[in-house]
Amino acid sequence: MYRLWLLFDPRRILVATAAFLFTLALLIHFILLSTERFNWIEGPTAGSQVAQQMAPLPATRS
Amino acid sequence: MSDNTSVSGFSADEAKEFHTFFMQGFLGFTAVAVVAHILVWMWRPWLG
Repeated sequence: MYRLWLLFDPRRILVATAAFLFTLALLIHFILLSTERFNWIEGPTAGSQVAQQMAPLPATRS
Repeated sequence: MSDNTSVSGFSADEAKEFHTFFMQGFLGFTAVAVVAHILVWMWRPWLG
C-alpha cells in the first residue's frame, strides 16, 4: 500500500485531499443549514413567526 | 526500479515513512467523523 507514494506526489495528494474535504464539508454544512430539520442554529420554527402576525387591513371608509 | 527513480521522487523507505503518518491522519480524521455522525444521528436521525 505504501507504494502508492512512489507513484503519486504526496504533496499534491495532500493539498488536493485537504481542498476536496474542506469544500465537501462546507457544501454539506450549508445544505444542512438550508433545511428546516437539520438547521442547528435557527431551529425548526425559525421564520414561522412572521407569518403568524399577518392580518387583513380593516376596511376603510370612503 | 531503483529507490531514487520513482515517479514521485520518494524512495521506498520514504514512502513507508510517509504512509505511516498519512494513515495516522486518515484514521484520526475518520474517527472524528464517525463520532460526529453518531452524535448527529442521536440528535436527529436521517434516512426515515
